[in-house]
Amino acid sequence: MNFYQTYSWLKTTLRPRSWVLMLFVLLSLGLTACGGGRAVTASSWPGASVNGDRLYVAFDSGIWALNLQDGKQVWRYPAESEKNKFFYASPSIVDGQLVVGDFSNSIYALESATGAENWSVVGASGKGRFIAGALIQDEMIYAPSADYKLSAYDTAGKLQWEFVTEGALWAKPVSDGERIYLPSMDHNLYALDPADGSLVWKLDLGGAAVASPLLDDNGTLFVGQVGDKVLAITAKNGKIAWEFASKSEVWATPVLSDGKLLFGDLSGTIYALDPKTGKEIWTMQAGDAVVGTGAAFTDGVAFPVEDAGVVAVDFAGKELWRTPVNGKLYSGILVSENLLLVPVTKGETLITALDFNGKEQWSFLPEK
Amino acid sequence: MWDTLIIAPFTNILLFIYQLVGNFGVAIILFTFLIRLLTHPLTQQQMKGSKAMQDLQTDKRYIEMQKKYKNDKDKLAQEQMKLYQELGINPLASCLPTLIQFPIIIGLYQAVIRSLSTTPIELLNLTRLIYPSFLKVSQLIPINPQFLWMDLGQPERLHVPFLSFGIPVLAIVVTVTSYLQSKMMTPPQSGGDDSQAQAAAITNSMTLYMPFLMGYLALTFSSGLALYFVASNVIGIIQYAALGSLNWKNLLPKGTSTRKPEKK
Repeated sequence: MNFYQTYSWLKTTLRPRSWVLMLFVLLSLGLTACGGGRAVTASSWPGASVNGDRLYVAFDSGIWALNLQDGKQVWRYPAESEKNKFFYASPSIVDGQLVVGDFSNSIYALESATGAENWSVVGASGKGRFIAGALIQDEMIYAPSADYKLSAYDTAGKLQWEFVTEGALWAKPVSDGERIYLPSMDHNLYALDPADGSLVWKLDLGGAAVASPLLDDNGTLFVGQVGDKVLAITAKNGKIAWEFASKSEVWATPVLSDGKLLFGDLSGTIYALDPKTGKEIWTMQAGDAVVGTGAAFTDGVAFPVEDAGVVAVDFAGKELWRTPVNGKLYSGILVSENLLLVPVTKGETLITALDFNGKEQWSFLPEK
Repeated sequence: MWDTLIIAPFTNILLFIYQLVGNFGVAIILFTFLIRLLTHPLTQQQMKGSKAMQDLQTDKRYIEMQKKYKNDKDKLAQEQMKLYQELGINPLASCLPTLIQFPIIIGLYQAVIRSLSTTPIELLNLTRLIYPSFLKVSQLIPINPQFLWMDLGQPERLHVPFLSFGIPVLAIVVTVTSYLQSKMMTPPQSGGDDSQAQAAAITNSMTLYMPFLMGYLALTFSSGLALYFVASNVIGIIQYAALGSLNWKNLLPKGTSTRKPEKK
């Protein structure tokens, strides 16, 4: 059929309503493609934490408690998927309770041994999803949410105070016991009094901070931001000690090990800096973006590399081993006594456990 | 491919405008204006195509073949096609701009949605779309999604104190402006034969249903898209008015502008 014949066929075949319907279907398909729908677009990576002999993983419709040594499931919350209940924040433990926020503004406290729900509170409003895990400090829960608020609860879920920033909170705060250090998407790092949430100081980081800072024993905070920079800040007064310009954005919390500050960026470069001066000691190329935080173990640091698996580097910057993982690696790697625990996004497993030589010990994929 | 050719340039231009004006809603409106400006030649082409099709319906040969092959649809279609070819008329010329709008609408919607990233993976994907030599990520992120009472990344509802539900103001405005636009841009129709009646029926259906479909999309999708629809409709009406092609009479009741079929 030539062009005119095609037109003629279309004109005689399609009734008026068919034209309208066809246009609508095409438009709708186009708009909903690539995650356009968005009533609840739960797109984040797994949040995980280790406590004793358990690994707790929050991802999508559930939270799983796994036996650390063999990856067997101990319990799952909720027992079956529920509408609008999505979990991505790393769970925290306090008083034998697992505390975790979801993507629909609620915080849940679960019995860590059984997964039974102790209490839940609506901890945020609007689009106040909980992306980062809560800080547990002195029997208090400090939960950052995307509705710009840090909320402090006691272990019974009673609200004690709130501190409102000017941007979403995607990073877990850290504390030295005297202050809480809270990074925000509004470009600021806040130091708060844990007793009442009053502001002690705030510092403009020059870019949104999406990962927790690292607080060392000398009272220095190390924090990356999406504007290609890592900063060292004196926790006491909020003064910048040094700045380091990375090649690309830093999404991960730096790791301090062997007297070096180690982190990766989205260009796939892994850096080792002198934590006192910020001077570069070495760099190496991991082969793909490093989004998550590395885990220090006996021989070096294992980094999650987005599409290239786990790359272990010794403290001199030499690659020790590389273990491919089916899926994308965005979450930080956790380390236990003898395992590296790798949360996987969009992969064939949710958690892959490697030994310190990069050999897989077990993997876990939730039953559908 | 789609990301590289459509989404990335759209996102960068949209964010560039946002960086200049500091308001994402205004950026969407200006971006819509820019798109309309760039597709202006296509709009003109569409108008020419419509005019040619309209003129054809008064052509003596065309009228005669309608009578002659009244009972032989295939032959009539063949003869019509011959006449189109002879006169150099492309019957799809008037549809082409509409079809080209589709990837633009989808591209703009995805640019809006991706810019208003609210989760880590969305933000990660956004930063990868941004041309680092063109825009600075650290200055852009986070993007403020607020425009008037709306969060442009969410479906819009206006909450008033005495009502327990939100009013979808933007969806209503989209429906009304879409209706006005399609009414005012519809050329006068000369009814008569089956073919013309069918064309008129298609146009009438589109005029009636499309605004509601657009309104439904505005109701359910992010208000950034609805804002684009409103801006696009208003700019479209102004554009047609500037080209002298608005048919104001279509707004009057009973379609007083529709020509009566010629007496046989």
